[in-house]
Amino acid sequence: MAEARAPGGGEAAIVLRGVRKAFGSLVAVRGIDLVVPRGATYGLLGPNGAGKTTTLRMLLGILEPDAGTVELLGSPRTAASLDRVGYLPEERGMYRRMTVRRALSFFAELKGVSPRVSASRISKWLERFGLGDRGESRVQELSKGNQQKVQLIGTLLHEPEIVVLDEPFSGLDPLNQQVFKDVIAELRAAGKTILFSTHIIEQAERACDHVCIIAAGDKVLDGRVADVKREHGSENLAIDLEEPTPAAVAIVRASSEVREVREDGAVLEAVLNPGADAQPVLAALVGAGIRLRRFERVEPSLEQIFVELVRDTTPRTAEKEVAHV
Amino acid sequence: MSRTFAVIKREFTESVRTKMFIIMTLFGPLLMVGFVALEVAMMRSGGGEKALTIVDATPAAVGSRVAQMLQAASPGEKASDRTTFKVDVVELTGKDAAAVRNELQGRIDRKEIDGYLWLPAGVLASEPAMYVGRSATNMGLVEQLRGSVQGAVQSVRLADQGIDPRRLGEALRPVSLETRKAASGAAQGSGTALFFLGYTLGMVVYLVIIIFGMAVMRGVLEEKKDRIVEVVVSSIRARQLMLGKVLGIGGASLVQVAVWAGFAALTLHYGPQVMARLGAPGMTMPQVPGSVAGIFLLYFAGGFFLYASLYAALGAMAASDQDMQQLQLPGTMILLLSYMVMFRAMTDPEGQLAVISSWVPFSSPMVMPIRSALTAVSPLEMAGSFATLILGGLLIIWVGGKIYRVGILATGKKPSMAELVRWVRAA
Repeated sequence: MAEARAPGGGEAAIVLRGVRKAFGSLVAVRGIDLVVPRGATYGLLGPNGAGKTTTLRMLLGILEPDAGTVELLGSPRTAASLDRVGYLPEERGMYRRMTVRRALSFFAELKGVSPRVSASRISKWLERFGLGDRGESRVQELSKGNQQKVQLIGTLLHEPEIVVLDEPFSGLDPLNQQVFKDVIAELRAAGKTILFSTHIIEQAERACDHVCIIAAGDKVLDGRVADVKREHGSENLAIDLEEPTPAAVAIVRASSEVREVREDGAVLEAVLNPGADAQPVLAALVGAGIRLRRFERVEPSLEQIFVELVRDTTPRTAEKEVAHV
Repeated sequence: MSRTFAVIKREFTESVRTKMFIIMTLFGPLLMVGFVALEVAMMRSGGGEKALTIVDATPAAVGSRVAQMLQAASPGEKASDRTTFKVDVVELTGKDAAAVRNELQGRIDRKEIDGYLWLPAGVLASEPAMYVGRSATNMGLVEQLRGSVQGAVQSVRLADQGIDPRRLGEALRPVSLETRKAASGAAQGSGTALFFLGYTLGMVVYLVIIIFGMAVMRGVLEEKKDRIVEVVVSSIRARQLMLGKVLGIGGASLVQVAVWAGFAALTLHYGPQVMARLGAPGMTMPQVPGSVAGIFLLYFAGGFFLYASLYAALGAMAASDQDMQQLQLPGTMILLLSYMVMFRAMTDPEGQLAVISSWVPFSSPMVMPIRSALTAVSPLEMAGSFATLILGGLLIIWVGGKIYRVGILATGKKPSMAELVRWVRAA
């Protein structure tokens, strides 16, 4: 089979084709296709229960798909190719009674890295996270945040080419979130492929260059973040008035360039028609003597696209919690 | 394979590093000896002096005979195990029975005496004697009282028939019979010593399997509950994890048993000398040939593999500690049943039960080593029994592995029987 090409031409790190998984009568993933280019930072977005974790688990061989194929780094997934993947599950867990070093050494060994090789890497990482003196402590003696750091180290000790992170920021305090973000940024700079799932769209928007949105076990859309925004979002105008003015709302609403206006006191948000020009709106407002604090063309947020698309496609999981945004 | 080895190594080192393991390995034999000694002591549970009043309402002065017999030590009994009696005989003639009873009860309450024995006039016929005391359930005491009353009554009855009790006693003197197994290759020693050996071996297998089997189960649940398993099975197969766990913890248990076996060998070798030096030539120690020890270790390893796999599968079904307590029951029941079968087999190592249970994978690890110690088992039977044990073990591992594979990722409630069948099919 010819090696899959990622959209944009690069070689693919991860390819899922028609991957499906059911648990009894519940279909968790309904035949998803996914191509993650090498070196990409790829966000898998979806509301809770959309099938994100199940998809990741199939990718990692923790679950076998009922149908479909999984390719890693250009060939069907094998034990050897899994050695080049690092995985941080959403529900973090370590051997609580083991010492930090022994637990980490074990995880490295599971990936084929001998204790001799892993020892210096462990020291380096522990130093970096300020845990240099905790190597011989038992995992359970560490704070929760430090346990999370230890687990992140365990994910990276074998220097994987692909890093899979399931909800990496959940349960982290702001300081540790920053630590995780820094590590992700470094991995990205080093050319690693990063696939992470999240239901917090803002994070994905900032961190990812590619996204895939899934809902109710189906893919809703995928692609580069910029393309997704261009294709699915519409540009907005953010207008802040000095004081709430009904006349201003009427002027904006009357413009042929504007499709929709949302108002919140002195703050207006206008959705522009495709290819619209904002200049006439500004001219009309200024011409009517309305005083402005701010008049700005803004890109659509991924969150807005997400909410609109997912709202349309999730009648099946209506009873479930939808997107904590 | 090297990944499985990493798991084996982790399980082994984490097991042997626990305080419990070190304590059990070093003090286990002492504990075991203590346990057996305690049991023996409890069965005897005598000793000390008891103040007793005998109220004699019989015309033939049975009371003083009872007193005599109580005070005479029975032969072969160590003085320390025996209750000694301070006896006081009271004739009832001319006294009011109820008043005497009240008075004696008062003395018991004031702790002047431990109890009184009431010998009614009709005791020579069939009227029961009565003991009233602070500890009417002390088996050793009750046994001694019964024996003495019976002896006294019988001797009076014999005298009534014109028979000299002493001459009868001479004629009825017990013959002692020593038992030794003739089977070559089996352990040599007196029957009691062999029984003791079998008892100990069975106990060791039972205890070790239960302790380490539970450790396997707890380990599986820990990985599941602490969400470790997800990372592990993204690196290796669930089967490798289960195998590594069973072998690693099994290895630790084998180390423990080997240390114990070393202690046992020393005891068997030097025990008699030590006992003699201490001035207590105890029972003769059984001579255990190396082949019996080898068979014991082989069957122990096979049995452990089987039960540990079973416990691993049971652990994979559990989602909480409460589940675990319920789920360990089937495994423990099978083990306990096998233990009971072993006892039965020990008393009749050639019997049907012993032979059949040697072929059943769950009970053969307990029954076969003991049978081989007590009697000669043909090599063919031994080989067949071991083969079924290994086959049974592999079957359990195969089914257990499937349950494990699905079970370790399943959280929430315990699976129903139907779900379990689906797990085995699906995996």
